[in-house]
Amino acid sequence: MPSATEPTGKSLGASRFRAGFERWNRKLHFYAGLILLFFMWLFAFSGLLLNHPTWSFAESWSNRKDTNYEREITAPGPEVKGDLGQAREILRQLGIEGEILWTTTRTNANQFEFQVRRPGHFFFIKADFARQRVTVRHSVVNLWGVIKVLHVFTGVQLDDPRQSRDWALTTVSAYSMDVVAAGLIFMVLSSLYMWWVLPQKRLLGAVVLGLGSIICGLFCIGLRWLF
Amino acid sequence: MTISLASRDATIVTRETGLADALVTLHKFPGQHVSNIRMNWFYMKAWRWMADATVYLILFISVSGIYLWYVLRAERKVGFILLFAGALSFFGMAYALSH
Repeated sequence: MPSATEPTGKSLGASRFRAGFERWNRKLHFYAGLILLFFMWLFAFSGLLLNHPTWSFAESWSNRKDTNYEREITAPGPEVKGDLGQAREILRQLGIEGEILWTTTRTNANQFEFQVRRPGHFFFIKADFARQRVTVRHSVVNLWGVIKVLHVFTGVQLDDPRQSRDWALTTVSAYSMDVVAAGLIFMVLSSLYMWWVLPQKRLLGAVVLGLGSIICGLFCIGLRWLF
Repeated sequence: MTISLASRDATIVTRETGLADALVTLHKFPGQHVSNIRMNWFYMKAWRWMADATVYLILFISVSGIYLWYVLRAERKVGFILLFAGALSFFGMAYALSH
């Protein structure tokens, strides 16, 4: 018969589960951090650049290289439906790939203007179906520009419902951001657990966590009531 | 806000856009355009400092995390494989997007 101080089968199982959980929590924290490291550095570093648009060393747009050219095209036939279909057909003929952006409202069926963007490249396309010609301005930006666009390349804009993802790689880019965000949330939760199981660190950790939460809450919620 | 200097009056329209919009605004500001006039309110400047501090802290904790992983000999091999896989997918995706 087990004594009062001897662990029972149930408590032994629970402590084994806890030890296993702690071990795997730590392991998965490392693993998630290592696999997401470069993505995390990209978003951190590009976030810093976007937060300081006046940093001249990272200027990309004014240092761009523009190329202008005109090409003959075959106007898309009636089987090509909608603006997106026509834009895709023009891009196929020009051999351009990227995310299509709508910047102007179409008023003339023969005139068609749109942009195509991918990190490092901006294409400003004006098609004239009556003349069967298209003029293209191709702007190439430097590495700083590529880094900044990688941060924001989602293919959608909250305030413009016309913009939707139409390039497969934009979807890959957007989902990779989701994965990085989910991975970071997991890493935060796993580190919270690792902190919590250290009783000697609880008080200091709680003070730091509380302070951080108050500061974040001030900006996200508090400012609305204060001003 | 519409101000008429001639008639010396101002029309102010207040729009409550909610918490989600507040988060989006804080996340996106200052943005790449008209940056010279943005972040002109003290609290937005303070938010910029907080954002910078967060980035520097993330860079520090990622480097310290790499050190803490590297000293665990048992985790080195699997760690290098994951680091390589992450680097490959990151640079592969960046190359495919920009070329």
